[in-house]
Amino acid sequence: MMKLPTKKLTLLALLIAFSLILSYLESLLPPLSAFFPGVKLGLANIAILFALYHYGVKEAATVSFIRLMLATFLFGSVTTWIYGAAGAFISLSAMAVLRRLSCFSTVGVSIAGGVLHNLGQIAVAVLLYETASLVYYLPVLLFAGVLSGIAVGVAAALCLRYFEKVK
Amino acid sequence: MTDRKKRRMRNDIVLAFSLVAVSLALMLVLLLTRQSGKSVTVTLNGETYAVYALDSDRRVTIESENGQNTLVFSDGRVYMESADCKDRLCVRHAPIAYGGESIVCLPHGLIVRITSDDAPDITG
Repeated sequence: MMKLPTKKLTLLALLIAFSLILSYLESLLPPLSAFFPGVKLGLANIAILFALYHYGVKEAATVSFIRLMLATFLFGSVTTWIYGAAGAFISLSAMAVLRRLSCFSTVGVSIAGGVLHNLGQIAVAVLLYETASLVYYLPVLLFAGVLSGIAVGVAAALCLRYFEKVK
Repeated sequence: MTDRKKRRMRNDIVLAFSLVAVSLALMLVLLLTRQSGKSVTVTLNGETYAVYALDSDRRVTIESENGQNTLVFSDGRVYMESADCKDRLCVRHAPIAYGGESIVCLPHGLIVRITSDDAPDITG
């Protein structure tokens, strides 16, 4: 069992809780999904992005993983988990790489993360159900992914900045 | 603003715009190549459950191991009238009518897809 400083432990726990609450709030908003099924704001990514930039890949992965487990047990089913895991894995890997490359700001990284998250989920659906017709969702997903990516990226950047100041 | 930040912001904008451009182009292609639907294929967990003619008036209830969905065919379109899944995204979906369009109920593993082939009258 690795030794985890209390402050870090608390912060990570807070981030996980934060992301769960964001997911819940998101689900309360009026359904855009009447015409655009699967469109999510992905606000929970703010927490994961924050963890990625403030600490690193391992911590972000921890937040992401635990959040996924909790969200599945609390609100979801097995399908929630399969799609959630696929989306989160692809999204986080890409975001970690992009952050390393240092060619985008948090906004760009979160756009990539958000879009890939949705793409990952569609890919899993296509594989599981052996139908390519789901490609019809791509234009909407891409567009929505960009918009929400911007929002999440900006929010995360603000959090990071104020966090630095408070320290 | 430092040069590095400027460069990153510029890359962000390039990324955002190219993705939007791709999505618009894709949407245009899909819109131009869409065909009127003829039959509706319902698959449950990847296996074909039933095929119906789109141009019919009927109500179909599908029982799966995870729950129940009700499809309604009317006016040359098909939509999900009700379902007992947790999110009900399938019910909120707008009616579909063109080839390639689909309504999906992920929790139930149900996909309702429109094809432009004639219905081979499996279920009539």
